[in-house]
Amino acid sequence: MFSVRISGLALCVAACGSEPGSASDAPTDGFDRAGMLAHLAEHVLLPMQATFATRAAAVPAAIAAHCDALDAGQPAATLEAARAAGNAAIDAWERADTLLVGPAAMDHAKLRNEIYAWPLLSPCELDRDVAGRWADPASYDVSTELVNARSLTAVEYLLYPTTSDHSCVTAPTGWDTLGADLPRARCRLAQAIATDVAAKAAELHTAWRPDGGDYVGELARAGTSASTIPSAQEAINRISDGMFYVDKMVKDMKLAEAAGIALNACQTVQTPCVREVELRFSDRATFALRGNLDALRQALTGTTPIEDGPAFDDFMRALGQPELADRMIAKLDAAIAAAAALPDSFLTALDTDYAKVVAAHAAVRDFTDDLKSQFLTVLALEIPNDVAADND
Amino acid sequence: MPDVAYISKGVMLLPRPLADRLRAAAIAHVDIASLAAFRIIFGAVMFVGILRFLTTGWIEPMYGEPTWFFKYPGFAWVEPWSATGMYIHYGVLAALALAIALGVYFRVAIVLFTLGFLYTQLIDVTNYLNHHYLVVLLGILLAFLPAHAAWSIDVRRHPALARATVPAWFVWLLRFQVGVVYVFAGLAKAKVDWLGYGQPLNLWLAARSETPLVGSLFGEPWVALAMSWAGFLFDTTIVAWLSWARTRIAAYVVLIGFHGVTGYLLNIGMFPVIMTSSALIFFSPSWPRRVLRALGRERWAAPIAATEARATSPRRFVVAMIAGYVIVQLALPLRHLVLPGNVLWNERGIRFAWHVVVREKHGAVTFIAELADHKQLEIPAHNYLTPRQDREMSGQPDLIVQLARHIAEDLRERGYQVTAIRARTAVSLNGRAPAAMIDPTIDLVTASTERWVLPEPAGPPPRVTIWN
Repeated sequence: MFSVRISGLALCVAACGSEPGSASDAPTDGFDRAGMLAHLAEHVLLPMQATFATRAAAVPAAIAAHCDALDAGQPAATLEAARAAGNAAIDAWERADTLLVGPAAMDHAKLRNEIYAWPLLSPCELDRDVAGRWADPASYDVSTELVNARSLTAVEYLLYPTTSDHSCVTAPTGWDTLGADLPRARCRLAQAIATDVAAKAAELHTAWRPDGGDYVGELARAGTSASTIPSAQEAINRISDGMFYVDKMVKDMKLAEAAGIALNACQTVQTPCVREVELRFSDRATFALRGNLDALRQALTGTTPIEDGPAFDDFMRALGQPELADRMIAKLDAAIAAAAALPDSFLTALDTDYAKVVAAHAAVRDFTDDLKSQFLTVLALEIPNDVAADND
Repeated sequence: MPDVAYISKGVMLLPRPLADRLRAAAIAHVDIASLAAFRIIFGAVMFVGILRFLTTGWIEPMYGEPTWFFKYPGFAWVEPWSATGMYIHYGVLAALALAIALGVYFRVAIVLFTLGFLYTQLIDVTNYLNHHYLVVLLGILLAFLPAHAAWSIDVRRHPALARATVPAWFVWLLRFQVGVVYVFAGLAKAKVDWLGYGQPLNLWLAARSETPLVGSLFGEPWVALAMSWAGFLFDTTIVAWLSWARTRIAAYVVLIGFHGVTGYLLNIGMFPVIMTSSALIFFSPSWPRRVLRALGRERWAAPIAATEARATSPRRFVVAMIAGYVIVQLALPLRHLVLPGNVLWNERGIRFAWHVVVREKHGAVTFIAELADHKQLEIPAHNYLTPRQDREMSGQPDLIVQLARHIAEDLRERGYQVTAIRARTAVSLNGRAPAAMIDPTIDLVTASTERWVLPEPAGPPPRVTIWN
């Protein structure tokens, strides 16, 4: 009977098919996706988390030493040490932020924002916390704060005060009574926030470590029964999603909006908008850019100072697209060179070397043109944050 | 015999005797069973499809998160409800789909469902899917057909509605619609990229090389090429095989396999289910009774006791409406042939034309506002669009122009003195190196023709291969 035949075939179609990754323990094609994922996870991404966790752990003590020195009236040397510790942590985070994948990206990047919330920062909210915490330390709980009043962006603001004035329309309660205690109040708040960031950094590192949450293993074993990621292709897509940081955050926000190349909050055109500059209090945006681009290169090429292994460039070559791989590496190198050519002070660059900022933006844009087009089509990847809706 | 003469004129390309036979066959009455089954299955599939849409969390990103929507010409006034309102809207659609399947207040249900579904499609051009368009067309056709005159609650409540038969052309109309999808989806594949290079299937299959058992083959370009040809031959000929009684069952088995494989490998949602169920209309009008008898449901399988209707020709205005519908359905998918350029690149005439999964496009688009003081300001598309809208727009020139015009308006409202909006584009078609799709020297706000679209990139698409 034809209906029986149809039912039988339908059953066979349903039964003979299987969920991606459920039946196979490894991809069966010629390119070793698992090897690429293992290399990127173990030798590129995990070391970034480890470095950041180590550096973040050092920040509270450095700030505490500075706070103690302030209490003792001898702050000169300790301030620079505290700033150096904070900057080192931020430098490490900039690299990890460029390739945001896994635990820090989950839940709308909740953990990421608790560690480094840029561009979210509320100086007024921080000034309120400075006064409030100084008056009653027990009343302050960093975990209840919005992300724009915590994270390393807040630490930077507090370690690089530009004025003794507050940033609010009306003075926060207790601000006027701070007087000479303002530096100590700022310092203690910075210490509290840095302590929280160090804890978050440790939590994140644990989530990555093989002896912890083992997100390294999740990526490396994607597509097997030992991972919740259904396929290696999906895992690769997650890393490529992270790489799109260079498009929106680096190209558009850090460069174009800050330089007035693109629409910005200041409504300036081809004139800098300092409010949009990352790390504007410490003036370390150039270092952030360089870290972002260098980390991106490690993901693209799999080459770190101590390791070299399969990565996206090898994947493209394996797919028979060496020209694309070479072109993207060359363009990224051009962007890295353009960032290297910027003065260390990004504010100075905006002021006196504006053409170099424009050139850096153009170089990054050349790279992202490939990233957003042929890179995606050839590797059959999806754009980040896309809806997994139907497509015909 | 004026009716015969009229119908004969309607098919004037046919010899008169053949036209007369065709007319006689069209107005001859056939079992209503397949039409009623079509209604039931359509309603059930829509019910499942709408529930799937509700439960996958697509309402927010498609209707709640966007701050601006791409409009169809003449439908700029269509705006979405709030996100909660859209949930309610889809909930009502699900209830209407169930009503269609059960045949409860069918006429009202099918009209409201079709209008309600059409509304969801008109909100944003980036929501366009070929199978959503098909749903609207089938809804329109069903709204005019007595598909509830058997196996429906309406008939239980009003036995006088019952019909044992319907004119054959009722069924033919649905066959025509389903056939149009297959044939034009096949013809859309008659392109160099598809038949000559197996693209974009090669790109998609290479990414599925982890598929159990056969995945290792997907890295081989010849597999994509063979599957491309298979898809082309399937789409262009399946209607013929389904129409011929001797090959029908075998063709349907192949059809199930084809849609099963494409549904598994490609992210095409409900399309395989809709086509697999809709293609049942090609079976004999009594096929549901045979299935019911095979399942031991003799009572349901029995023909309905109803007055046998007399074979009459449809009225002239009905014939004119049908002819108009048929002409539109044949002309829309062909219109790209008279438009200049490669439809896969410039997308002129690609919608409502059954160009199902025939191209893979990704692109980067940056808008540049020229201001009165001769300064330039870049406008990233993500300032206005969600990632999904941005992805859809980046390969579709007409949407790029729509957004350019919206950006001009928005900037002017913000106080910028905009003199022009240009677009810097880099678009990859079927894996080719990115190329400019929009002429960056053209002001997209004032350009009155589609001369802003640059020619497609020369040269073949790449062949993606996996080597050891």
